[in-house]
Amino acid sequence: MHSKYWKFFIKRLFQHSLNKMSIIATESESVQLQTNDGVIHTVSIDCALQMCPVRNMIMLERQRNLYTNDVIPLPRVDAKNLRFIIKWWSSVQDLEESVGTMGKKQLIQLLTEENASHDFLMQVILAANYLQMKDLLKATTHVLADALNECESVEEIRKKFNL
Amino acid sequence: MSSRKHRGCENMENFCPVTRKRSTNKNQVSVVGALVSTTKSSQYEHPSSPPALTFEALEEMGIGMLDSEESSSSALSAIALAVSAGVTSDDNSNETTPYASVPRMAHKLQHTQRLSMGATGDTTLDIHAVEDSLAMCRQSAENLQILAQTKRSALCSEGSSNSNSPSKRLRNPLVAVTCNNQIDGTALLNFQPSTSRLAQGCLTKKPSSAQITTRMIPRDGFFVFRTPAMSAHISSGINYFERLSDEILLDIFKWLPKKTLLRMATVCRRFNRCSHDDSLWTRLDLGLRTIRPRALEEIVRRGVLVLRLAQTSIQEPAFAPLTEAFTVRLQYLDLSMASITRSSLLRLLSHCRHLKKISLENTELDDSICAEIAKNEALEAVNLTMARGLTANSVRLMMKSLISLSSLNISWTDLSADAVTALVTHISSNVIRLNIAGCRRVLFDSHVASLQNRCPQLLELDLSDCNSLTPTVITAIMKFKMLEYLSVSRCYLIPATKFIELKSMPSLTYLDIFGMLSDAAMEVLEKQLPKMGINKFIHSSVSRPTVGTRRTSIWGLRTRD
Repeated sequence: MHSKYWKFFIKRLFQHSLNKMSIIATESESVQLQTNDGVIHTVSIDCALQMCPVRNMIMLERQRNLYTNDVIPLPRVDAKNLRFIIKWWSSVQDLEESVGTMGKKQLIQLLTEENASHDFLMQVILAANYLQMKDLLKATTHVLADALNECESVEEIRKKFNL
Repeated sequence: MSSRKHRGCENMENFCPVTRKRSTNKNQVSVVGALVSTTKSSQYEHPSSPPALTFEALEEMGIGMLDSEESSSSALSAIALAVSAGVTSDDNSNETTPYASVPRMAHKLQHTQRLSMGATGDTTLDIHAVEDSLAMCRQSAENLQILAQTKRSALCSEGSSNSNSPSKRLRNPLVAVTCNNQIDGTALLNFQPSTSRLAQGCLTKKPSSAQITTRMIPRDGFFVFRTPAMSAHISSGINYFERLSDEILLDIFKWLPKKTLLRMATVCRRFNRCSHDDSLWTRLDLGLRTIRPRALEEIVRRGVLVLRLAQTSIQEPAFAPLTEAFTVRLQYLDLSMASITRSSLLRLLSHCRHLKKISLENTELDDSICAEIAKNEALEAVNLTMARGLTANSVRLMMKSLISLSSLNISWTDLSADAVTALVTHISSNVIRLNIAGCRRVLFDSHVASLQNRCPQLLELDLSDCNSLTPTVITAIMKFKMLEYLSVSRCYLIPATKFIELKSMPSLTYLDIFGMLSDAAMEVLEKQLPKMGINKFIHSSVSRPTVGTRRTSIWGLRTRD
């Protein structure tokens, strides 16, 4: 019975309409993710399914009908970054408009809230790259590109980013 | 490191490569070692490259050598400096001269870099390898100057460099001096600074080269590239960009406008390499600008696919003399109303083999140019409106070889009778839009008949201003079963009554007969042909890249991304 549900699930995934998953997946549970500093985060399943490594693992599990509730490790992500990403994702979800336009604005908002440095932004980029979250990657790289664009001179860029 | 430098100093006073060779014979150094340390200290994110480099480099050592013997170059001598400078203990037994090996290494470095970069152009990576080796030598001001000049020349001559013979690319010190002067005036794109974001790479290189030529005394701003030691001294923070992979860096660069992209290229070596990636330079719109000499070569060598050069004036010489053959990826080229000399055009087209659509409206052609056009067998749309210099031979050549041609505009080109005959006899049957307007006194009914034989599936036919056409041509035209648009404007020999016969053509939807009928007659005709759109299009759009007011796309393709 679970497998029937799951086939639906897979179809939806491939249609990229991950929002619908929360409807289909009656087991709208949360998933536990552990970052590389040992902190365990509990995330709702639709958020977790955005992240490719997590998604692959879950899909593998479900395919074989193993239902473990083990913690999924994310060795390349920090706790701080993961929290930030989850925050971003949930704030983007709340908005009805397309992630493309609003995602960046939300990101900038969140970053200024945190007084984040360029270092933090780059860590988020790396995390987004590892988790293969395209929208987040686009938004973050756009922000960084804007920062590069704003610099008037080459020397400024070198100084700012310690190149 | 400092000890190395010192040792290097005493050996290399002059830069004559011959002495270089003799003196460095004993230093069978690990140019390998030298370069490896360079790569390690550089900011490349290639975890695998240093070992790969050494292994491959060692392999290369035994293999045949480059003609580094012949070429005397300051960069090579500089590399020799590096060689002597890096007297490390691991002496690999290499028989080959250090010079040759270093450029070879450069080649290999380029290889590994290329692999990790994915699709990147040839030319860009060489420079970095060269720069790497150059970075090793920092001994005296004199050395540095010449090095800087070489770097400049290497950078600026990247357009003319070829990955297969890295040694040839580097020039001897004297040449570097003159080359530098040359470069100041050449290969620079003159662009209106405020209006557009587009610029060419050479422009950003200019300020630094200007710096070099004026100041002969080394100062803080003199060093355009830094040693690791220097970097550590100057910048105190951690370089976070190091953690980002090249692909992520490419993603970041994708958001940047071209002008900023060019500025990025001067920030550091890694940015230089990434900003030259082909995927960032697929489209370019340089309409209405003036392109300085040699810049066109650099543009096409960047791997541009869609290039709009409408109304640009391209200054001579557009290509450096005697460059080796390189194939250009250009597919969509718009040179409408461009002012370009025949020789430059010939050079440009001789490198293009993948063209799909080309517009040469109002340019000067000759037989050899047409021969080069003919070699692009994938051409689908050709626009030669008002082009000068078309002969029967060139027309025949083009028609015979352009078999995928689907739309051709060859109007107002002063074709001779022979040319028209050649055209209709050899035209590809795939042509569905044809515009041969303006063939006064040379286009006859028989031509239209043979055209009909060749291309029965024609959809659009424009025969305006071919005033030798008689009423019998209508009979021939009637045989086109799929014709949708016909223009016979100003073919005064055809009376108005003949057009009523066109009613029996089911597919014909638009008819242009400007200048033939009085208003009253027009009304009568319109009543007779109620379903026909009469005189709807003043300008032909066959093969035209920009139709109407659209300016940022050619043939429906964006030119700015």
